[in-house]
Amino acid sequence: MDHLVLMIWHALLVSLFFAFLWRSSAAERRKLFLRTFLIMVVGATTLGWLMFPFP
Amino acid sequence: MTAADPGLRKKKAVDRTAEKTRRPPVRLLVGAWIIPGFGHWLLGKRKRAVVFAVVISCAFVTGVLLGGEIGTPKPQSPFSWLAAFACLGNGFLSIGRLVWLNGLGGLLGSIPFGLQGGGSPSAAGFAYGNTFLYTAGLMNLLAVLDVSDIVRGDKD
Repeated sequence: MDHLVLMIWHALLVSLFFAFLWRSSAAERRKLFLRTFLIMVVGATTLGWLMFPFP
Repeated sequence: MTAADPGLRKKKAVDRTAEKTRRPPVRLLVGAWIIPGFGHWLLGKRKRAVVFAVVISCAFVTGVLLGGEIGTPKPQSPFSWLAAFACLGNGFLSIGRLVWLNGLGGLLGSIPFGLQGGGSPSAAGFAYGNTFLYTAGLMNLLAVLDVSDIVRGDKD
């Protein structure tokens, strides 16, 4: 079980859901999907790296 | 114009009637909860309905495959009620899983504290599985609220 793959899969599902919940047009949905997906994946990875030195 | 003015009273009565007619039918909301995406499908939002059904089902199945536990109320554990609420948001997926694990008789006879939610706390994916199950249920509840907003005319 790869933690990174699970995180990306979770981020993908949640981003897709909110893109369709909050936006109506295809262009807006694409934009929101990419933004939320990248924020979740890059943000979680960055936080993981920042927490790396801590026990 | 005073509060006793008949014109004002009539206008208020008309406003209340309009509000009442815009109230979403309970059957629609229950249908939207039981089958993810069904409410949007009935409202003609077919694309959104399919996406919601696929996303929520995928998240639920992933949670089960990872060894997650369907949240069930546990005595002296108030937070378990929150987990149960989130998981119950999955509608028939959650109820079906509970029937699968407990049997129909066991399910009805064990409410609320004797239910088995499956999963294994020692499994590597237990916490992740729970997260997927809670997320799926909460997403479905948001979809139900979306159906309500659409019927009220607050949203497209």
